[in-house]
Amino acid sequence: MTETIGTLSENFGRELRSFFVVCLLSLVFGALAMAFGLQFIVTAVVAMAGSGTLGLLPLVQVLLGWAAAVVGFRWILSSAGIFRGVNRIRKDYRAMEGPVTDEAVTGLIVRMMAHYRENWKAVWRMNLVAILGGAIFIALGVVNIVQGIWHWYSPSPGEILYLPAILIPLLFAVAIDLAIGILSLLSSVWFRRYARAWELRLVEAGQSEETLKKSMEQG
Amino acid sequence: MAGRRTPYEIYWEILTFCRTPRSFTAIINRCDLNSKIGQEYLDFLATKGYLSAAKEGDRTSWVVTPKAEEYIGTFARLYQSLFDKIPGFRL
Repeated sequence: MTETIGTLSENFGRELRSFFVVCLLSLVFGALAMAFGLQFIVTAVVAMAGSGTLGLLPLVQVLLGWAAAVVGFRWILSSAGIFRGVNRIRKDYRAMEGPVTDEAVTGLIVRMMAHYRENWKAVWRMNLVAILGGAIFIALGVVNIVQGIWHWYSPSPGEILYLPAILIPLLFAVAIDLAIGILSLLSSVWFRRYARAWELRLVEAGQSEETLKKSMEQG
Repeated sequence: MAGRRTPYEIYWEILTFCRTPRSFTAIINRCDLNSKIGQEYLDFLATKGYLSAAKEGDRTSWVVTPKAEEYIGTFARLYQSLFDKIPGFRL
């Protein structure tokens, strides 16, 4: 029995750790989305002010930047709520010393169930926000590529183009955008997997209630 | 223990907390219940014979009865099986 509880506790701990990492990544992505969004807006506005014209690409850049900043802000708010609850349970789990008792593990499972019941909407929202955030970052990457090509083929009058000077910062910006975009899409998959596991557990727990009801009635 | 819990989860929390005699205030604090709801839960469990009240002077403490062990055991078995039956989330 102790060995079974030990395995159960380890599985629980592993799952808790995995979700903690996803929540933490989600917070970081949210902050990055907001920061990059604002940076895109500022860069585009400065470029438009410098040239004195309203170009199509800078306008697209401003719109995408604004979308990224708004999504980033919502992202942080949703992640913070989920993160707080998971972190509290994780701290209590880590504080358990010696062999974990049957009751301690059951108590943590009950807390995770309650946490999911309270946050299931936020978890599904995170899934959508992560997809949206991923799409925005990938779009920003594409805009960067188009901008680089545009710059190469239509340089400013008198500008002498030097390929590495354009290519290195461009590749760096595109790599960051695409990496965050892909990781964000991946995190939406993780949120979905987590939600699916807990939805199934909730259904199963609902069915168990009949057994508990009978046990109570017999009492 | 905040969050949305089912009544059965709250029964289990109260019963396991009352393995040693506990005051009403300690129970509602630990189980995160308001006094009205807390009293209803304690009355229900006492009616079922799962909890008994012991008076010490003007203080009343609640303690679990041997009859509750079956419910506590069934609850733990059912909830732990959720992790055995359903594949967990892992990165």
